[in-house]
Amino acid sequence: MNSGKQKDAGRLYGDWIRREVARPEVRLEKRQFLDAHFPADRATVLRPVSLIPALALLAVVLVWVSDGMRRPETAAPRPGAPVDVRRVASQAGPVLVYQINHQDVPITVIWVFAGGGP
Amino acid sequence: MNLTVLRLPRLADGVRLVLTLIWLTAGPQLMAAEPVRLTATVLMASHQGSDYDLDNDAFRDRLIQLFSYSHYRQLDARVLTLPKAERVRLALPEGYELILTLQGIEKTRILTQAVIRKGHKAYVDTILAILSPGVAFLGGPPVEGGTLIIVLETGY
Repeated sequence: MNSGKQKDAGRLYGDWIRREVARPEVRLEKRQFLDAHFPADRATVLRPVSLIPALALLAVVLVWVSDGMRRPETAAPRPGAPVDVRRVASQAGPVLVYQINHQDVPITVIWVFAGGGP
Repeated sequence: MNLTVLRLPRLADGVRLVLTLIWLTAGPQLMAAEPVRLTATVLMASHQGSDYDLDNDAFRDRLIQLFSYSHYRQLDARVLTLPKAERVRLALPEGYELILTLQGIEKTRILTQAVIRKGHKAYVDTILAILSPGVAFLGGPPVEGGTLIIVLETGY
């Protein structure tokens, strides 16, 4: 067989293979074969490694919320203030500590809200 | 006329060094030995009336800025000497009392505990490190006709 006929035969054979493989029955059998021997991966979002960023974000949120819910019993020291409130507590109610400048004189106010306010 | 010049003997360098070290270490303790004084002024504030019955006019402007009361009356003003670790009490109206305790001295600050108490209940219990001069307002225990405000000052 000369080279021209060989090429034609090869082309015909290739076309026939492509038509056979493209048949719906063959494609279905191919799909079933792959599913049986190579099952699809689970959704990546359910993998433990995928949850790490979400868990980290949740941890940050929890710390932020719990930090806001704390009720400190000691006042934060202010070394530079003329009156540094080192500790304040009351059995009568919540306490407010604030400082203002009045005519260049720093004034510290410690006020207990026991049914009244300033 | 002969003038006799009295010459003091020069201290040896070692003696001067020792004296300097003694001064550096004992200085703070010597300073702490001086009595600590605090001025406590007791005011009653209310919304009834518009008078400012105060001995110290300097309080007036401060009170106007700090609080919304319209009437102030000075009930008492004392200069209290605070011995170390001893409680100094000042009686307040309607069974309240102010208790001041000198906790110590930190460099230039006076460490004082100030408690306003009625019976067994501590209305306020605070520890203040006061830089001289310094002023703090404590309040306000409710009393008949108004609210008590205690002004603590040092160095003024």
